[in-house]
Amino acid sequence: MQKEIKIVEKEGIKVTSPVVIEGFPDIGLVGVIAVSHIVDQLGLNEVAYIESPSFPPVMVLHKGILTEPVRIFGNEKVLLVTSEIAIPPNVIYDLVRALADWFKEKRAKLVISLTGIPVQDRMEIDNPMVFGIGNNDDALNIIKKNKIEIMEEGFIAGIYALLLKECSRRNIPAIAILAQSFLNYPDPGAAASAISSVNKILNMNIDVKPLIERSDEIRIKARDLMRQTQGAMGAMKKPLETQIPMMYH
Amino acid sequence: MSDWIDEILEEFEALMSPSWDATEKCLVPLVNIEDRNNEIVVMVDLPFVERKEDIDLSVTEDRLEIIARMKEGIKWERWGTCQKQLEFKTFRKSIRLPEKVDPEGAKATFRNGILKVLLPKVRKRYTIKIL
Repeated sequence: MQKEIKIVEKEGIKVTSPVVIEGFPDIGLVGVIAVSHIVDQLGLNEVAYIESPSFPPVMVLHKGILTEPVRIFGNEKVLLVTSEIAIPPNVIYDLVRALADWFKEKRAKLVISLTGIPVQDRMEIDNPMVFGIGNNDDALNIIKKNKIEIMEEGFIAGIYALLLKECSRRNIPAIAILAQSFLNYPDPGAAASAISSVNKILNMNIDVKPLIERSDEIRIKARDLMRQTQGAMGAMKKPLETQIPMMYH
Repeated sequence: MSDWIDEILEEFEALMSPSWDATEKCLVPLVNIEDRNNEIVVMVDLPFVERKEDIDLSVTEDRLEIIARMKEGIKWERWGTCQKQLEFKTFRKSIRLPEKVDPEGAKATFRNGILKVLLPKVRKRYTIKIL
């Protein structure tokens, strides 16, 4: 049964073929940290929020103001989707379909998912590498043109995996950027690597230095979301991402 | 059997309990435990901890205890109600290990705020020669 997902737009939202950047809680909270930093750097406002009876009964307070935990920020050219709570695995399919429909309605020209890929020796890596996945030829060409290494074989799991598929069904080019990351710890360094790739793809100049400088503070603040996310990752089949698929061709 | 139940209850309690302790004025760090062939690897996220000298580690056959002092106290000015009065200065965690280890063989490294502890298992594995 389809679960009810509502994307509630704030009045006055106007977009023209926007680029969408998505960062939901996942490996190392790479997407959430990266999207929060981009929102902060570009000074973007909330333009919509997402509600569903299948989300936990939670609201967030910021500066005394009641706020939805799953929100969309943006301006005319760019929309950023993120969440302050772990998304329950049983709602992911419907959430992704609702998002992909909304992106189509807004005539999104490109969807970029930011996430992490866990590496065992992350502690020894100073500059995490980034890998790209595209959902069609156009998306793959964007990755190649920007000299981002393509992930050629493997399983992918979670929100970004489904979003690539659902965007593909709606003829929206979509890319996933995966930065080498800690599995269970918030990883601002990996988020910085992911943002550097966004800078290349969108020809932007988002400064990642403050992200590195505030690394300790971010890791402290993100601990509870990381704990929630750890619980959801098993159900999202994230461990599959370390497995080798069987191939016939 | 009771060890197994204790382990599950402890994990459940850790997940449900807050990540801070107002009485001890400490934070509970994020921990990852990996069970490898001959050793247990424990990784601990310790932001705001700068030097290895600020970490106290003690280990028995089945438990690892960590106390780490931060370079500065952490205070959330706008968070919650009573919590905004609190200042946290240390991380503290006691971890039940999934298997018995040899405390004397334990080794630890600390880099960029991540602590890694290698604990050799008591039960060693031996290679069997195939005839």
